[in-house]
Amino acid sequence: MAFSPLVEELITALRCLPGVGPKSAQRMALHLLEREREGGFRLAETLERSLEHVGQCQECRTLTEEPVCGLCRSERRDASLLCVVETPADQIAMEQAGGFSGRYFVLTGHLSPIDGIGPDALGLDQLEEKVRRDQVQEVILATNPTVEGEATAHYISEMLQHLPVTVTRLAHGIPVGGELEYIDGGTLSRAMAGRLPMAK
Amino acid sequence: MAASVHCQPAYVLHSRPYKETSALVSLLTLDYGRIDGVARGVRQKKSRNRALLQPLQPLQLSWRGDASLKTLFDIEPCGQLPLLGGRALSCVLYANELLNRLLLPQEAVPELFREYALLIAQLQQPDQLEPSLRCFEWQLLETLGYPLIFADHKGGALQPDQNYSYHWQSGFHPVQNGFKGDQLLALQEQNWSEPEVLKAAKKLSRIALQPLLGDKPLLSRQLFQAGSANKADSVESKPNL
Repeated sequence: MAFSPLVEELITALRCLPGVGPKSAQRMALHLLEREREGGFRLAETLERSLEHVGQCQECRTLTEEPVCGLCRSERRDASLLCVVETPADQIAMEQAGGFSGRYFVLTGHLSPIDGIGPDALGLDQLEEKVRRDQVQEVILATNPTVEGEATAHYISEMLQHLPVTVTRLAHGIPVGGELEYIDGGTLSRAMAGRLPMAK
Repeated sequence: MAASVHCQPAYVLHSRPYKETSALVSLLTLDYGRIDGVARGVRQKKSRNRALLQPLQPLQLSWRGDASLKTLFDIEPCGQLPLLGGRALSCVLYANELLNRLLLPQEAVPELFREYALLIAQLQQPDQLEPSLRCFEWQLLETLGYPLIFADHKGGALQPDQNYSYHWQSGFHPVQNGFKGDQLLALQEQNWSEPEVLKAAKKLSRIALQPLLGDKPLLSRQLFQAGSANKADSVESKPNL
């Protein structure tokens, strides 16, 4: 016996979510229909509104329903500091860590030729334009420490080299509370290469 | 019982996230050429393999499965992750894109693997960037069945004072304007000291690879243009300042 066509359609639709296979999709659909109708309506309505209205911030390319996001509009943020991150999730992580009072630029990915992502897909001309227009003093490249992330950081620093701006890169190091014994060799050798004088 | 392969030397060409914690990885291996595999749980927070499964890291790993997508296990480092600067990283992305585009899966390419390992080792010396990339490209051409043969299309020796054009199937033809014979002879002897010879080598590689790559351009070539585009800009903008 199969589910009725509409229920089947709902199950198929839920499978577009990451990590949701046929079984999970079926469990979710049945839960919504059997026990959580109210939540289901809320979900449907929010989903529709978000998909319709949420776009990219004109300034930093993060996800927002406004033309310019709250962070970019805020007077309290230092416009001369610009932190370049790969995804909105990275931006949130940096914000939660605290300690950074500048603004952001979200690339929405990294350079990855095999995946067909080149410089054009990351809005890099928009980044250059922003650095020029806002008279940014320091660009902090906070892309991931992977080969693609490093290549992206390198590309951006070359792109900005003719502008009067300091370009810095996040440090590589050992996680706080980590134990050297359990840290991979790549991280350790980078931490060794990037060692700092002991503060007095 | 599915066949399994143990302790193969390998390099990651590309990896992309798969489900919550796994990754789909494309690898270049010594005895089995390019293979695709799933590394389960590799993106978990505590996974040790997270740092291992990335391009440049020399690896030794095992896999099982008969299908085209293997299950990877026993992933071990087999040497240090080289610390490479920006331009060298672009070269790696370029080499990986070439391999990903041109190599058929599961065809043994041991010479190419050795040339790739050599390329990665030599990328740490900036002045070796271009020569090692060219050697790699030419080994790739040979592996694919289109070797560069430094002789004219009739099999005769190249003359230093003659100019030649290159065709990917028939080889070098004498022409009025084209590659200079003495530069081609320098390339044959892998004498890279002259900048003009390096330039000719690059052009030759492009012409030889073009028909194999087809219409779709290599995206990684754009990565080399960031600095040079700016330099052109600044030269042009100087008179206005």
